[in-house]
Amino acid sequence: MGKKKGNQSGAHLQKKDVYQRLNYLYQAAHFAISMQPMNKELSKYYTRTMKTLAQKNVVRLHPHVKRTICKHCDLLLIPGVTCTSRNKGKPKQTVVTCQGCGTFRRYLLNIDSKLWHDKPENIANVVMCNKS
Amino acid sequence: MEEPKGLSFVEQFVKEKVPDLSEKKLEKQLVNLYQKPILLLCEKSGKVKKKKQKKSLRQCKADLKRALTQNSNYAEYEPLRKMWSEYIREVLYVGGKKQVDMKMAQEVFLKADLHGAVISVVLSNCKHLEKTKGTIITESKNMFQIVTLKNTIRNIPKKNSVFEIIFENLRVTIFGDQFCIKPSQRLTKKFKNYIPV
Repeated sequence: MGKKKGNQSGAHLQKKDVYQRLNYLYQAAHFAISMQPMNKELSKYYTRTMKTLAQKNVVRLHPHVKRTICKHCDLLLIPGVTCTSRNKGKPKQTVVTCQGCGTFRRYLLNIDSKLWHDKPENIANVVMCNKS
Repeated sequence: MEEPKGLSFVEQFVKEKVPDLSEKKLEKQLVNLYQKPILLLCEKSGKVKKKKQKKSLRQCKADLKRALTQNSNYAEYEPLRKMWSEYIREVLYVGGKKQVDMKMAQEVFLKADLHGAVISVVLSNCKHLEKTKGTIITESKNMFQIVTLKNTIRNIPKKNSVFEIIFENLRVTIFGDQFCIKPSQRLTKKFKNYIPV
């Protein structure tokens, strides 16, 4: 789920253990929401430790991962379960609102524009963490 | 409620309907009731915007405690245990190795994530806490929170106690006195005089 991309020329990935731990915490947050009944507070706890762990080790989260975490209350955003996403406005934009606290973020709907991480010329090479 | 005199009825009506009047103001207004009109409508119109405040840390912890007590079933945390064993296997056996160096395993368990591990208390100052067994759900600076086999949640302090983790062939003992660090800061910290395994 968490994406691991190394921009170095060599195949060796620095801070490998950090990426593995971030990946595990992200999966654990998904598990807490899938429990019966839904345990929002536990998943908030896992995402909060994930955020602080990335901050301490100076590792940046991938923007696709970062956009699934509420900025205000650290809730994991899954459309239809913990958040709603609608297309509206004059320059068309998707509005994602968190159902826990009610904060919303807008993303412009432009077909031509792409994220810097999604462009194929910016990726040097992809390093897989589990070679077994 | 209604009295025959006309004036007292008006007085009572004003007392009930007009909000937030002190006694001095009420007397003044009652004297010149027939000369001045009284506004019965609320003057404020439209909502005042409030700035959102983040929850304090103490409130977050209280919410977590309340949420954990609601579902304290041991069987419900089965997928978390399975996920943790896959994660540890991925960290331990790098590059398809089958055997593990003991020195490597020490460093791995120091820096690994312990949410979801099966743990048991070997020694502690508190005698009744010994021989409790369960999976770790949350970990803070001085505490482990554990779901036991009897479907209850227990807080176990790290100080003055020795823990044990059994994973396949490995048996790892953790001394709680040196382990008193937040889980997010454990990676960067350096250890001295520390002997796991």
